[in-house]
Formats: sequence, structure tokens, C-alpha cells
Amino acid sequence: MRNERVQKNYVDYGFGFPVVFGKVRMVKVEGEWAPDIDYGLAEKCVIQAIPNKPGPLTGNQVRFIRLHFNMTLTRFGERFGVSHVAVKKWEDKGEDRTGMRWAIEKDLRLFVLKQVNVDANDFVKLYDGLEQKLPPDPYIIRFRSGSGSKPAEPVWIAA
Amino acid sequence: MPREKGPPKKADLLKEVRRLVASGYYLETRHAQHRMRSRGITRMEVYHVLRSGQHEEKRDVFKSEHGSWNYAIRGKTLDKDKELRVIVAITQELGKEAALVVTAINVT
Repeated sequence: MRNERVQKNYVDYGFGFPVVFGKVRMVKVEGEWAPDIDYGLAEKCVIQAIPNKPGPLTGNQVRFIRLHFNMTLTRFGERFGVSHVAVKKWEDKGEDRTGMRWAIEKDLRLFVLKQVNVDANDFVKLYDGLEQKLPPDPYIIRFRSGSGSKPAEPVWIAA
Repeated sequence: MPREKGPPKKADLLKEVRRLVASGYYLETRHAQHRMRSRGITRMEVYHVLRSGQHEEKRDVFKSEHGSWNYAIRGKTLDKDKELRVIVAITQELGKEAALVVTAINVT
């Protein structure tokens, strides 16, 4: 019996929102199928892609950002000038947009970009891009097929 | 009911699990992913519990069909608003040792 197969598209919800992986190797381990994905690398790619999301951030994406940087509700709230209750309210929106003020969302995206060590040009480019009003459509991250368990560059696609 | 006997457990489970997670030798079964989603548990929370939780030895279960132990690790999330039990196996089936998350449960 085969203990390995390739799945053309695999939708992962482990980060709290859908991330699509192309050509994922599925392995049978302890009698159960498991996708062989390098989640550590995927997490790094997703956090790098977040600032450039074409649509507003959702509650689950804000939560992902906060937990990626290992920040409590209180610490995150202090960083963005709001209470921990306000942060909780954003996150409780789940798959819907947070409803946070656009000035804060811009700050949040620039904060993420700074943390992931981009160069100054990328920073300025994103800042200019964020001056435009974002479209309301939902977007999801898609990784095109990578090699083995390594995902390739992620792109945002309209859901 | 007498406990099912099995091979010896990992001597230093937490250290081993943390080493595997940090090295990227980490897998989740599809079943675990479905359960995590339906229970509102994210991977970031599971990571946190695996890194900071305690081994709940009395909840370990020997799976005779696979000849291996499912270990229970219990801990709080970063915000301390939830307590989780993560069931994890150390598998060698891929030719390398990896931490395999079998399921995750809210215990509060």
C-alpha cells in the first residue's frame, strides 16, 4: 500500500485563515495522512506577505501577526495605542475585517515589514501603496508549488 | 483496567519535542488539522503549548497498532485565556524523527 501521494491543492487553516499550497506531498504516518509542509518556512513567508495584502486585514490575520511576534494582547495594544480589549475585539472578528482605523492598520503593516527586515525602498513603496484605499474584496494567500516540503513565493489572489 | 504495556517512553519528552519543533521536524495529521479548526485552535497556540507546556504523563496512551506512544502535553496559550492539551507522537516513519501532532483539545 502506498504511503505517499501528491495533492494538487492543499488548503491549510492552521494559521487561522486559508493558505493554499500547490502540489503538497501527503505522507501516511501512524496510520493517518499528513501534509509534509515546512510550517516554519511557511509562517515566515506568510508574515512577509501580510503587509502587501490587497484587502483589509481580518481578525484572524491580526491574531496571527500578534502571536508570530509573541506579543500578548496588552503588549500589542500598547504598541498600537489601544487597549487590550480593543485588540481582542479586532481579533474576535475572525474571518471578517477588523474594523480598525486605517491609520492603525497602516502602522501595523509597516511594523510587520520593519520586523521582517526589508530594505528602505520596500518600506517606502509599501507606504506609498498604503496611501490608496484598499479594495473590499476578500483575498487569500496561495503558494505556488515548491520543491518537496518547501513552499515557493506566496501570492495574494482574490477569493 | 490495567494499562497497556509498550516500549519505554521518551526519557526527556519535552526537550525532544521542543528540539524537533525548533528544527522544523513537525507534522500535523489531517485529522488534527480538522479538529484544531473546529475547536478554534491555531498552530501558533499549539507551538506555544509545545514550547512551554508540561508533560501530562497520566494521559499518555500506547497505540499498539503503531507500536508507539501518544504523549499528552498540557499548557496555557500566550494570553493565558485558554488551556490546551496537545497529543503528540514521536514518529520515525519518514526516515527521520519528527513530532506528529495527533490532536489538540481545549481543556478549559
